[in-house]
Amino acid sequence: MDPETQKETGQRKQLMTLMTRHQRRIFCYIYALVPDRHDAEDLLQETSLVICEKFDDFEEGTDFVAWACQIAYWRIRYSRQKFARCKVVFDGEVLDSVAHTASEMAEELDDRHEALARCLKKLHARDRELVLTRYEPGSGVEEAAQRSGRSLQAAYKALGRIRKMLMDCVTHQTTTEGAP
Amino acid sequence: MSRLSDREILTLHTLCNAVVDGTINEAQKKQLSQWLLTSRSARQYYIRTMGLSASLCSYASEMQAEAPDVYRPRSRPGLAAVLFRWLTPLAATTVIALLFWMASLRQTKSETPADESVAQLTGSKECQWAVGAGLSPGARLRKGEQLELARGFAEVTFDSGARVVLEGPAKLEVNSAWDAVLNHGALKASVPPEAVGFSVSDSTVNVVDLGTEFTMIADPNGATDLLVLKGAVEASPQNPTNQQTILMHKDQALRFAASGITDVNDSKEKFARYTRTVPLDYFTPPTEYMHWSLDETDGTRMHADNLGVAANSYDLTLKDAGSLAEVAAAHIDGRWQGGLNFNGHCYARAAFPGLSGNSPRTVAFWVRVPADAQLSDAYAMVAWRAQSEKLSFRPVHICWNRNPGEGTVGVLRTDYGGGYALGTTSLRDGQWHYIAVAFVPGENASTPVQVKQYVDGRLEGEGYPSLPGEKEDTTPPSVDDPKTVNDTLWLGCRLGRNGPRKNHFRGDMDELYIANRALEPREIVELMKNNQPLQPALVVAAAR
Repeated sequence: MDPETQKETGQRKQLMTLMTRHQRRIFCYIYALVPDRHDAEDLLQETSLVICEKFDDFEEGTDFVAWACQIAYWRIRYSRQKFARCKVVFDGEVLDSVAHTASEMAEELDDRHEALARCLKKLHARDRELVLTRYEPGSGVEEAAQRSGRSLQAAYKALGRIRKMLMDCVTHQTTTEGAP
Repeated sequence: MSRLSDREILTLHTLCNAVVDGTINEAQKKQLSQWLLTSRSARQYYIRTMGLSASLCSYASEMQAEAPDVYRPRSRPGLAAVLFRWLTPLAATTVIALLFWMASLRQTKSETPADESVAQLTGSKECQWAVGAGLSPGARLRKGEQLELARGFAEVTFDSGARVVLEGPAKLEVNSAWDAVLNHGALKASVPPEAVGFSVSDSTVNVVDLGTEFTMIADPNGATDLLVLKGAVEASPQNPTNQQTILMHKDQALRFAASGITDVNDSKEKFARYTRTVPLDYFTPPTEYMHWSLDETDGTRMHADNLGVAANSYDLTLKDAGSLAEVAAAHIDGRWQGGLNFNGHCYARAAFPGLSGNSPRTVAFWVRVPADAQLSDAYAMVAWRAQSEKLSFRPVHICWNRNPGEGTVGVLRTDYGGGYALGTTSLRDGQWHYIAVAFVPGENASTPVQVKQYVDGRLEGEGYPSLPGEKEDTTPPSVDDPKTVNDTLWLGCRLGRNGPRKNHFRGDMDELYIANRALEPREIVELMKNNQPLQPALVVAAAR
C-alpha cells in the first residue's frame, strides 16, 4: 500500500473511532442548545458531514469533542432560522452562554449518563416504563400517556416528577461515588 | 456564582420540563433566558437536565432495540456491520454512518485496511518463497497479503481457527480471518467447528466450509479440482451460466472449469495423496500461563499457579465481600470445580508485574452473566491499567457492552486504548461462556494494538485500533499508595485513576488464564475443552 493510501486509511480509522466514541457527547451538547430530538439528530448529521469534510484540519492529540462541538455550535448558529420551529431557540447571547458552559461539562455528563442506568433500575417499574416509552424513537408524551392509561395532563405531571427523581438520584450517585 | 435555592431549583425544573416537552410559553422562555444569561448555576442545572433527556433517548432506544430478542446467526462483523449496530438506536444517525462509510470508501483506494493482521504463519517444511526473503516463522499476516510459495509446504492459521497448508508452487491471498483466494497451486484446508463458514475461492469456484477438511488444486489451465476429505462443503461455481451451489460430502471430488463441472479423472490418486499427513515444523514459542482455578471453597485468598507450580505472589485477594458468610457465599460451583461469584459489590485483585506494559497476551476464562443483569453490572470481568503509549495510558476492561450507541447490549466488549472490540453473542443468558481475548501489540511503534475476541472458541469481533497520543493521565500513581493500580490484575470492577470505581460486575467466573502471547485459536479451544494449555508437543500432534 502506498504511503498516501496508508495515510488515508489511518485517517479514516481515526475518524470512525473518534465518532463512534464521542457521538453521544456531541449529541448531548447539541441537545442542550436545540432541545428537540429530531432537530438535534438532524444537526448531528450535518455536523458529522462537516467533521468528515474538515477532518484534515483536526490536530491529532487535541480535544476532538471540543473541536466537534465548535463545529456543531456554528451549524446551530447557521441553522437557527431552519430550527425556529423548535419552541426554544435562544437568542445568540443566551446560546453563547449555554454553549460555553456545556463545553466544560462534557465529562460530567458522561458520568451522569452512567449513573442514570443505576437510577433507572431503582425506579418503580410503572414509572420506568412511562419515562422510557416517552423517550422511545417516534414516541412522545401522548404515546406514553396512552400506553400507561393516564390522561395527558397526568402524564406530563408524572414525567416531571420522575425526571426530578432521576436528577436527584444521578446527582447523589455522582457526588458520593468519589471515583473519577 | 450563587447556589440555587430549593425554590429556585423547583422553578427551574418546571421550566426545563416545559422545554423538554415542548410546552414552554413566551413568558417562561423569557424567564428562562434571563436566568441562563445571568446564572452559571442555572446554566449547569439546565444542561444537566438536557443531558438527562439525551441519555434517556439513548436508554429508551436500547430498550426498544432489545425487545425482539431473536436468534442472530453468528457472523463475522465488519466495520460496517458494527456501525449499523451502533447506529440502531438513533435512526437519523444511520444516515451519518452511511455517509461516513461511503465517503471513506470513496476516499481510499483499498476497501480493506491492509495493516490489520488476520492470520499467522504457523508451520512449514522445506519452504522456499517465490519473492524476497520470505516470511519468518510465526509471522503475522495482514489483510490482503499474498503468499507465493515456490516449493515446499507452509501452514497458515487464520484467526478464525481455520488452517490451510499450502503446497508450492502456489499463490494464496489472505483476505480476512474468514476467507482466502487461491490464485494457483494446491492447498489443504482444515476447519474446526469454531471456524465453520471459512471460505476459499479461486476463478472457478467458491468453497464454504461446513466444518471439515478439503483440498483445492487450481491448475494452470484455469480449472480447479475440489476434494472433500472429511465432512461437507458448499461449492458455488463462479460460472455466470451456472451458479447453483452444490453440497459436497466426504470422498466426493469435482472439477470446476469455465466449461462446466465434471468428475475428477484421477480422484483416487489425489485422495490418496492429499489424505497423507505432511510432517511440518511448527513455530510455537515457549509460553508462560498464569492460572487461577478459583477452586477455593472459603476465604478471601485465591491461589495462582504457573503450569501447576504455585505462584503465590500472584494470588488473588477478594475485597469488599462483606461478612464471613458472604465471603463463603462468593465461592460457588464453577464450570470446572469451584468458581467465584461477584455479587455487584465485591472485587478481587492480584499483583501482576508487567501487566501494565504493552506485551502480547491472552486472557481466557469462563463467565456466567445472569439473564437479569442490569447495565450497571457490566464493568468489568477483568481489568488492568495500561501504562503504555500504544494503549493511551487508559485502563483495559473486558466486560459486556452496555452502551447501545456503540453496539448490541450484552455482547463481549474489550475497551482498550480509547478503542474497543465488540462481539456478537449476548452473554446475558445465565449460561457459562468461554471468553478469550488476545492482544497483539503490533510489529513496531506505529502499528496499533489489535484485539481478537473469542466467545466459546469462535472469533467474535476485532477491535478498533487504539488512537495514538490520547493520554488519559501519564502520572504514575504512588507506589506507596495502597490503591496503586499499575501492574495489578482486577476482577469484577471498573478501574478509575486511583483504583476501582463504584461500578462492579455481577456474575460468576472460573478458570482464569493469562498467557504471555496471543494464543492460536486451537490453543484457546484446548483451554476451553480441557482446561489446560496445549503443550508444544501436542500442538504438533493436533495439527497433524
